[in-house]
Amino acid sequence: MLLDATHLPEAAARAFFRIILENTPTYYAPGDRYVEGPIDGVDPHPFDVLWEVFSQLEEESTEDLETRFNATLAADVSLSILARNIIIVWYNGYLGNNMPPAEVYASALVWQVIRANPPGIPGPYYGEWAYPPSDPILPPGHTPQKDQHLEHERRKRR
Amino acid sequence: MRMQTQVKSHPALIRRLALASELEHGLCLQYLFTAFSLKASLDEDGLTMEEFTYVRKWKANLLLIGAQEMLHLAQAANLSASIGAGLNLRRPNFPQRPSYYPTDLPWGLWPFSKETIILYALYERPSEFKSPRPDWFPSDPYREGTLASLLADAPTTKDPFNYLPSEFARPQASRYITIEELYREIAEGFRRIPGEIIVGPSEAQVSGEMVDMPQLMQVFDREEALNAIKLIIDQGEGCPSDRVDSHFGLFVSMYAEYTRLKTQRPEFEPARDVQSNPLSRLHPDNTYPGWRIIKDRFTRRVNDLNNGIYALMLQMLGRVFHGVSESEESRKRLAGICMRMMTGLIVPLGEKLTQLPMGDDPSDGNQRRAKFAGPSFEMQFTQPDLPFARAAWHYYHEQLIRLEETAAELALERGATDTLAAAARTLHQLAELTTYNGGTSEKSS
Amino acid sequence: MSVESVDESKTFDVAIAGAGLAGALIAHRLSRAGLDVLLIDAGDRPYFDPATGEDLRQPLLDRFFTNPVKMTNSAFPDLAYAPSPSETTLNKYFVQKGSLPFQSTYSRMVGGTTYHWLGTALRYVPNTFQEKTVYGRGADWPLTYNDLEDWYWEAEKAIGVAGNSDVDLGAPRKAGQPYPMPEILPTYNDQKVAAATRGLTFEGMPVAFNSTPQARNSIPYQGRPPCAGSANCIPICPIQAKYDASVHIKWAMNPSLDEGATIDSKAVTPLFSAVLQKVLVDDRNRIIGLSIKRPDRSELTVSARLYVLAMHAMEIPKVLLWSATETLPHGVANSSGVVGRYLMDHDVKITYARLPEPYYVFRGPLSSSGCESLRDGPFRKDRSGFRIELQNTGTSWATGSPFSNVVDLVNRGYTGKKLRDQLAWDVSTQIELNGLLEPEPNYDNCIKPSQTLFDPLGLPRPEIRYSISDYSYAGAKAFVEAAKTIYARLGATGFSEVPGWFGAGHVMGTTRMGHDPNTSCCDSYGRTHDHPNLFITGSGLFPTVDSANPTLTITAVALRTAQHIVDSFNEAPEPSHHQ
Repeated sequence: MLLDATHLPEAAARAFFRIILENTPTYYAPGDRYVEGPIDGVDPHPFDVLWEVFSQLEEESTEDLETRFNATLAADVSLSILARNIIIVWYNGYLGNNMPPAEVYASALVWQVIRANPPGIPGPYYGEWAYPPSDPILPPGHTPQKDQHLEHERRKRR
Repeated sequence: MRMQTQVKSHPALIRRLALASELEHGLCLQYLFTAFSLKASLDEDGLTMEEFTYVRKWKANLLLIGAQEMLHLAQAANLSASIGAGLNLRRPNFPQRPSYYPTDLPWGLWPFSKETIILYALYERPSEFKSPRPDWFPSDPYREGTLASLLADAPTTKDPFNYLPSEFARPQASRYITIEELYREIAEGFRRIPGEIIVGPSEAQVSGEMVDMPQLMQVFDREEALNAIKLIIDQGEGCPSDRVDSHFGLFVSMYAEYTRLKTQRPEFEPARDVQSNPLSRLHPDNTYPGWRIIKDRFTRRVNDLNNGIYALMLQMLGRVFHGVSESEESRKRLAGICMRMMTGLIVPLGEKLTQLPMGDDPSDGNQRRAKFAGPSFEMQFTQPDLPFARAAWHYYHEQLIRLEETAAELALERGATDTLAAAARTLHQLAELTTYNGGTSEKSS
Repeated sequence: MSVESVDESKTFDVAIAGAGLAGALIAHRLSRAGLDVLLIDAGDRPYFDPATGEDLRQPLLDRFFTNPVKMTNSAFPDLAYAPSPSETTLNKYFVQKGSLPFQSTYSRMVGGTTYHWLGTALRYVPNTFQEKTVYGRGADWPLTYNDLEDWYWEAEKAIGVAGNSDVDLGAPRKAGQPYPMPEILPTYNDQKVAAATRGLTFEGMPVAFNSTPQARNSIPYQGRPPCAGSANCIPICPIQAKYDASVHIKWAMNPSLDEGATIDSKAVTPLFSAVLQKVLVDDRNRIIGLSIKRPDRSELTVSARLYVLAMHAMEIPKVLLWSATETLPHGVANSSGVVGRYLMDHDVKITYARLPEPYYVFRGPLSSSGCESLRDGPFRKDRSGFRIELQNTGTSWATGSPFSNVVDLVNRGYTGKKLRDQLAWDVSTQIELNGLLEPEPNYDNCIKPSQTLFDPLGLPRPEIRYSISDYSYAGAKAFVEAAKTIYARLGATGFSEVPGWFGAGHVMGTTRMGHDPNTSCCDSYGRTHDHPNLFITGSGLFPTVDSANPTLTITAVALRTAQHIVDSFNEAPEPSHHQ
């Protein structure tokens, strides 16, 4: 949901997860959303907290899950940094100076999103650049009539 | 032993060019199919980083070779137009028997493999080798059963005409020996046929600028015809001083790179498990085995959608080359739409089809057959002719909308949502460009 | 691979120091002519297999993929014993003493900077060769465009340039001398800009965007594939669709791989991991040897009948000056005093804006179009000419896009679909126009070997004094005005000019050629006035530099020099003193 993606490659997930774990700051204990509380005085890892918060909100299954989730995160420094790091590492394929192995370079989401070839990966074919991409980019918030219908139908069928 | 006929008359030359067009068209689609069967990302197992770089490079090279066959097709169109004939865009469905075309080689849609590269090298082989021929190159390409392994995964390899005695002539397009011989005969025709043969309308000559092919030559006299033919031959087999940059050379280095990587790491698997010669249904010209019907309904419908787009694009391409009554702007707009159909629809859909399932069929041996389909580029036998401009544009417009609706409907099912939704959007944009004598004059949205 | 050492008693025909573009081309031509050539480079290994010719760039690609800084040198190892200036090590190597830092970098490796150049292959316009005469600026070359015209064509064939022979870019082309390959298909971005600026003028001159002639394959060439849109020309093309000098080094080292090799072709002897420290001269002003230092600090001296320095315009003058002796107190080949002087770069001004609709980014080469029509004219009496390079990479140079856009949007609270859509839109509607300004040669802009700061091998670091003149500032002002009119035509908003100047990666001018030994270092062939058996190559030779990338001109001059060297060996086994 943070990434608006339905399928994420496994090798990249492993590499990015490792980077996030190495880079997650822990400033203070999380709030009372996290019911388990500290174990033996040790604060829970923000990643576990993040998952716990999400699961609780999802269970409450409200329509505006995304909004409520974001709002909860925004109010918690540790969690919001963690969430941001997750998004940044998935999009950019790296975080600060932490680089994953070369194999996951092309999995960085940013390239798909901007319809670009990940630089350095051999490109698609000569001349591909002369035409608009097969999935043209539309202004944000612009959802053509047909697409809205499509989205609605898709949601119904899930 | 095959008899060589000489191109002695104007009509004979026209017929030879029609045959050449079919060959270029068919080869182009074969190269595209093979390109699509190659893996596109490291998320698909079986590739190291280094292997992945090579696989992407081969894919791009195959697509380039396909694009150059399109150039040759366009060049054949200009050659035909110079002598007053149109462009032949018809072709038989895949697969066809090896003896159908002058190549005497398997003619079908094949996923990437060592045998496929050998086959392609054979297609494009030069008549004489300056340097020693590669040692893997079959010494006798005319031997019956060459590359039979390419057909190994077909449900049945029994030729339905097997029972006929040999003196019954099998379906055959012509009696030439090689593609290159065919072009040399065509060149001879342009050289020797007496009288006035350059009689076609000059407005029919398509410029390179119109179709984004800077090497396309317009043909206004015999000498330009010979230059055009020379370019086709040089790009295919190369010339004695430079084979390395021809299609033949590219296949030779692809083979060398593939065998090196495979020896280095036997688990290297560059291609998806794609079925050769998949079909949505049988057609009257499927007189030779090697096909396999797509059983998965969704896959079949996506294949039909892609074939519908392909068929419509051929209609439009015909108008680009024959539409002398259209304005320059109109023809250019249509050419631009065709380019977008190729790059924005046929390429992503073809790519996607190699990742959609063939589906289960109850026959024996189903388990060991390929799992995934591919674009079959089937042509319906019954095709409308659209010679009249206004009706043609109306047809294109309506058909694009119909295809858009199909794509949108298919996008609602699981399986290829993003690709199909994008295809629907693109079809919608293209439909907007097909307003007759109206619409924008820019070729892209 | 390279020989561990060379027989110091052997006298080669020619010793070439530097296996970059110029060194590779000359080595190849001389090897084809059957001369016995020693090819020296600081780099430690070639990135191809000399026996089979197979290209081996995967380690370079992997280094790039895992490098957090994705700049020009990011794919290449930084050799401790032969440091290369890069964006991240600039001031670790350069000693900057001028009013402005010199920002252009290069790679000390076998194949040189061509591994990471963009690929732009423009000819200089005729007036550039006579700027003093025509505009009263700079200095005239001892060559005219006419002298070089056929060599430009040879250059285009040698490195494989794709271009449209029917388009006039200010440098005339002879009929029957077409580009060896058709132009690279313009990107969607290129087409939109070209269409929108049709008919636009600036100060009475047309603003015409055209496909840039580039050493990038549009069809298979030299056994290399055509461009596939890898969008990574800088720092490295993954499939070698872009020319790099390993093409010619490979053929020089192993003529059996060269389709054009003759029965006379003789393989060059490579000597890598070898840094030139001094040029040795006898009392008759003849070069008698090159003193080489190895990574383990061992030394050896190699000798030849004729010497060619091809280490690029920063290292060549550094070594020449460092080779000063009592008899040559100003350094080797420097009785004129110009060695190391007139250091030039194409100073770059970056502007960017926001488009009303996507033109898309990172598709195709990093830049495939530009405006060459504002480079030449009477205005050159008063201000710099410039070329405008249209980027296909959005504002990646200006703002660090797309990574910076991701971080920015996330920090502003975007997530999910909103983030995806906004990111896609923000990045694909970026446009960046860079101006390459023609510098005026300035005697005070110079490089000399530092007397106090040394590299790990004990060799002096380059001490640089650099500044940018009013001539260029005036040119930059004009460029910004021109850019604004272009953006206006595109309906772009949010015009921004990045403050300050940037380097184009061009190091030029420091060993200028000329007729007069009092004001120039060498003749039009690069043969130094002071030492008849010493040649210099590369962009250091150029008295003026137009506002176009120098590589094609380097190639043309090098090929002409190679022919001259071959001729001089054919005419007289011992090259005699002549101009």
